[in-house]
Amino acid sequence: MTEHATRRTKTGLIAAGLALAFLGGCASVDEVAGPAFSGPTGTPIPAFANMKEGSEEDFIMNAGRRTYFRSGSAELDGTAKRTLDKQAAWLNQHPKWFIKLQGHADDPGNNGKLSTQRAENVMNYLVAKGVDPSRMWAKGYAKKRLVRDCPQLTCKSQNRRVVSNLREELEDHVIARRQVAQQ
Amino acid sequence: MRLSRRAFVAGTASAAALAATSPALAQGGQWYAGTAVDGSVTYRTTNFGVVDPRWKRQMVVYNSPEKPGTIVIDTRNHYLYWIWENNTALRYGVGVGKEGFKWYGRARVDRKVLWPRWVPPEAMRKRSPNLPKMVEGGSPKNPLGPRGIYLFANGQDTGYRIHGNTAPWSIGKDASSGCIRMFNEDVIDLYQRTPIGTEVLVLEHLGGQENEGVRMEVKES
Repeated sequence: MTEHATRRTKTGLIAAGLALAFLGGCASVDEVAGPAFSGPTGTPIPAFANMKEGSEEDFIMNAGRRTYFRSGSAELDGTAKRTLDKQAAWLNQHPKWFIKLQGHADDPGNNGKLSTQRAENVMNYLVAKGVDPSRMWAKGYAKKRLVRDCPQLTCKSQNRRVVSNLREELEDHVIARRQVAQQ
Repeated sequence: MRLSRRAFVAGTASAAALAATSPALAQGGQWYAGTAVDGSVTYRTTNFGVVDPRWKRQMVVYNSPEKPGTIVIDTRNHYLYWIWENNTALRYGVGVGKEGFKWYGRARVDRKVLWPRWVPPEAMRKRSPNLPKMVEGGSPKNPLGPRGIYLFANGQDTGYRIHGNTAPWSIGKDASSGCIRMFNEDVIDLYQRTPIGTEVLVLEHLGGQENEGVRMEVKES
């Protein structure tokens, strides 16, 4: 399944069908749901050109959903904190959204652990900035969803990230886990 | 970026009124909307109501084999693209050097600085002897503005930077000394989206040959 195939939004459902048809279900990290756009370079993308305040496109364009990390580190640097400050302000203004924090790593060492730690650090920072923790959950993907795959820094720097993904509802396994925790 | 029609009309109207009543603000006054705080610095925000829509940040179709995450600069047409998947890119309007950009090829972001200090190059100070030796970061007279993104090739500083501005009307024009200037809001935005290690391709224009001018290989680390 692609990221978009699992996204429970109207555009996501359309994208899911298209993505499955065209990509055969390979892992995707797309910012703009596929299939690939056509037309001359410079043609506006309609979903963004006509976006409404509070929409997912608004979040992607005006807050930005990727937070980057240095090699081997899950620490939030000054740039990461500025990104998350913008995300928190936006999320606090638009409380209808849930947020899945997807951690990724392409580093020396244990990428599973590091990617989870990155996602959790982002979540803790957003909580400190007033975002309700019940709206969020964190998951580490290790190296499963690389933006670019090569041994150089040009690739690895793109992969060392957390993507703040908007969702219209909690995932079932998150609800189940929380119910267990309450018992 | 997100201006309601009412805010747009009110913004231009009040800016026009200010410009009309205050000679001091007449020079470029309508280009500023208000102020914002970044870290410990208060800076003037751009009035996008007076900006030609083509220079505003927008998501567009982009046909090229460049990989996601790459910055592509089309110096002739004054656009900077941040490449996404599925033939898309986030496009920003930029201003470039008035003598024409002298350097084309592949570079890499090896250094990023918040509110960088500005040290005018020797050649620039020869042309303009009144320039100071150095302007502190955060000064309203610092033409680099809120962010500096430094382009390196072969591990060496190319001398070129992507930065902010103190003259928003120069975006979309050839009006700086070789560097790539952006709206302050846009360079803040690009800075957070492009980690150290980001690949950069500087082209004379889209569709032009990548090896026009000097092509320099990027030494990978």
